[in-house]
Amino acid sequence: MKKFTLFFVSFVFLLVLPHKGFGETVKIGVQYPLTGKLAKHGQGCLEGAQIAFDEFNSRGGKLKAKMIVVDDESSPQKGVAAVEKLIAREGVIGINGGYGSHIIGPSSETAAQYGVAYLSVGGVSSKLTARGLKNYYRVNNIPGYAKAQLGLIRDVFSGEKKVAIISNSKVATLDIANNIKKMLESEKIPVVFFEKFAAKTTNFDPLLLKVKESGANILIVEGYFPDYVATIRSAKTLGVKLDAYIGAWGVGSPEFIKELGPLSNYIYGTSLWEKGTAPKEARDEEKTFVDLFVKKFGKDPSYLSMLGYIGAKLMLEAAERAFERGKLNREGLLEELRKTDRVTPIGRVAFDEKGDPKYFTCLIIQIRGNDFTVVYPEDRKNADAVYPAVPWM
Amino acid sequence: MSFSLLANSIASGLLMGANYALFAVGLSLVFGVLKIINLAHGELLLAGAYVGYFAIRGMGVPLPLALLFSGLSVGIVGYLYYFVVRRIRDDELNTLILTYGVGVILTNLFLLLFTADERIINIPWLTEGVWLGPVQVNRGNLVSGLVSLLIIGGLTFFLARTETGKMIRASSMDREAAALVGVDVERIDRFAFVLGCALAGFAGPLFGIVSHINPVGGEAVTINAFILTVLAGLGSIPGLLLAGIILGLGEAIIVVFASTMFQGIFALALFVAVLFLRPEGIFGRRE
Amino acid sequence: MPEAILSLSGVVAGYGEVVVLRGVSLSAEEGKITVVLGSNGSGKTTLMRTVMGVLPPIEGEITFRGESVRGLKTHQIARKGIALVPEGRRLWGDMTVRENLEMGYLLRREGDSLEERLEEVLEIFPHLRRLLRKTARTLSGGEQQMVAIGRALMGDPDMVLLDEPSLGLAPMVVAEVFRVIERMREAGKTVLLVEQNAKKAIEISDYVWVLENGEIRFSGPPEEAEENEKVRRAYLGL
Ligand SMILES: Nc1ncnc2c1ncn2[C@@H]1O[C@H](COP(=O)(O)OP(=O)(O)O)[C@@H](O)[C@H]1O
Ligand SMILES: [Mg+2]
Repeated sequence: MKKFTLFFVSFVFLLVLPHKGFGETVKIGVQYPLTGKLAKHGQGCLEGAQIAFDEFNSRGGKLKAKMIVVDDESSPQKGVAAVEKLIAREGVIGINGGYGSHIIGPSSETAAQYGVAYLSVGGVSSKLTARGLKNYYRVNNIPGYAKAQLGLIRDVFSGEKKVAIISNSKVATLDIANNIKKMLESEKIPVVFFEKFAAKTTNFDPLLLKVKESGANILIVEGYFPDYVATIRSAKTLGVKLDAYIGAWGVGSPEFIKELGPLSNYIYGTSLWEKGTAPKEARDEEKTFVDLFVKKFGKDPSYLSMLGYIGAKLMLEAAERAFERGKLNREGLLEELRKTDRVTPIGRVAFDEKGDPKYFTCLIIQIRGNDFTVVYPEDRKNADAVYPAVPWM
Repeated sequence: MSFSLLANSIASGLLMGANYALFAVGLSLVFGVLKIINLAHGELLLAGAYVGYFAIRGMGVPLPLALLFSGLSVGIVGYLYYFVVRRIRDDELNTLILTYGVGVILTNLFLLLFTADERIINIPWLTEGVWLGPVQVNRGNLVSGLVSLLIIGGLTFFLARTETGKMIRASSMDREAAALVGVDVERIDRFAFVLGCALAGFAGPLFGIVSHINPVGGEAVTINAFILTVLAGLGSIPGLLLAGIILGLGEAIIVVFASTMFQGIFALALFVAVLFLRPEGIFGRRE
Repeated sequence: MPEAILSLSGVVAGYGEVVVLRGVSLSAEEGKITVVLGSNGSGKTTLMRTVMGVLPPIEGEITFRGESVRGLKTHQIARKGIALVPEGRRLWGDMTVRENLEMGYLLRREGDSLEERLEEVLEIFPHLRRLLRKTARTLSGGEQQMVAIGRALMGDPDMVLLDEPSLGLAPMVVAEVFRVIERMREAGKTVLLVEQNAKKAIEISDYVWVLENGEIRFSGPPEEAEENEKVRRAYLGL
């Protein structure tokens, strides 16, 4: 009996020891929309994530990582199925990814049922962190857009400030608009006009006339490409006297500058990342990433790839810490992810109790000719803002 | 609220209304004559917009020429399209499915050829504002509105006064009676269909100037055009202009007193009211 | 029968699965008034529409001036010189009387100008002169019937088909319609008249056919028709 026990114990020991000693592999699921409506976004994020895994596995540590990619086909239902598959069949202990709040919502809930960490880079809706999930984290959120717009107005603009805010009535844009309004008011910067507009509005003249009557000198438009085009055109037509026109996402895109031409000059917009804008502490990391990316894909990384990279990297770093603690499982990974606090190329990342990134702020870019400059925040900018200036005056 | 706010909104709404009519005229003509709802109307208009975009921005073709070129190209597409439509034109459901399918094919073709990028036809001098008495309007909208008047006026004259125009009207009112006086009704159908497509193509570049070109934006154009056609009364071309203006004006004034959020409700209320009170359309005839 | 300008032999026609004409053979002599009698639903209108190519015949042959018109389109048949005044008149309601008449002029093949044709028609229907600018839908039934006949005459056809032109009209107007039909014969036109108003029709006719249930049940000159027991009972109420 005793002999048998000894045999058994040494057998188990032998089985476990080399594993610990010569390396272990952690399985991380990566879920993105690789086909369908959001394919472009999902592909961009995935490319970044691939760099993070490559980098991790070639660093020479004892822990190796296996990336298991699933395509949710831009569909919430398929997202849930993808998560089920990752956890039940593949045995991943953490999931990275998702693009679009409507897909990430149900996907992360499914992961929550298994106590598996879900870290997203493409879900900004305030609803996602209002659910009280213990497994959900993200690196970017809506208030980060509003914070950047606030910073621009408060810290960069000088003189009298009267702000008009108009917003597309879609959830995400309205979310930013409500955030910036609250923030401006708590900073005692007057918001003289606030109105949402229907997503299918074709004639913006009457709305811009109301903005004109409000006496605002700064206009914030939370919208999309057609909204920017139409409001800029109306503002020009009606000669609305403004000192600044601030948009949100989409303003810095190449198509925006190409299509609008000189009409886009001096327009402000938000950006998550542009090459060369990492905070001092993360400059090296940014450079390494860009170099690896160019080597692997033969093109410059987009902000989406940067997001995908950071998301995957933070997940892997948490796994590494869990491994070192000897607790490389679902709970261990979650605990370590929660403790994340470091400066990344998109700024400092640490999570609050709801899983929201405490320090996340967008960049503010301003278009100049055929290019744009980063004008905010102070420690990441590459040029001073031109203020006051709008393209039609 | 100031005078200038109200006056300028009215001017802007009027122009927008005229533009709406221009973007609907092709669908209305085809519906009036062939009783076919061409669900690919918006995509044909977008095809014209793309042709105009590349002609104007890529090759520097002057606008009037680009309009003609777009109209002609889409007219040719319409001619080929008609050969398919003709085979099943007597079955209403089939024509709906077919024209919808053609729209889907075109949309995917746009995505394939032109990617999902959004575009505008940006002609600098058309982005300026111009004073019309006490109000300021966008020059692009003004040009497009004037072209709309010209097209609708021209088409109305053509239908009312020319022999072919009368044959089209006769055929649309009573096909059999038209055939009995020697009208080749099939030729008339083809002519009206191709003309309707060409008009959509012709309007395309102007759409790209006053709005924006998105490969999946055709459906919204078709829906708008259909609403105007019903409001105007089946096949009434001058009615289209008035219906467009009522819609454009109403939308603008609603923003002055409330917000754009009520525009959709206004359009819907107008639509429902007309369906209940005058099912034949504002300018249609009670049969 | 000599010199039939229009002749049908063994014509079978209908609507989809429904066969209405079950092998109709009939002919009309040039310059004469040929009458087709038949009760409601017997297939008279179907016969007219088949002749005009609106309904393609399933079987049988139709010839006009010895040439087959089977398979031709309606406008092609019309352009051979046949005009139909359809049942229910079928004017273009939104068009003016003048426009309705002008549309009939499309059928002209040679000769007179539009104004000359219009004058001739207005001479036949002087009443229409005052109505030229009115919209067709605003006219009375009698006026509409005059426009419908006028429209058919605008193209100066060799043959006129009339489908129950007296239906629903006041007796005075009916009398005028029949006078006009007789004038057509005087002008050398061939007339094929479909009627339920048998008495008047037989009176002006040169030859009578009776259609029942899609089949010809009688044919003969008017005197014979008036003598025929069946015709007397069914159509003359004697
Ligand atoms: N469009 C149609 N579709 C199907 N059946 C029809 C149609 N028109 C007429 N019919 C049928 O054909 C038969 C003959 O009709 P019709 O030729 O109009 O008779 P008439 O003119 O002698 O009154 C009737 O039984 C009628 O119900
Ligand atoms: Mg009948």
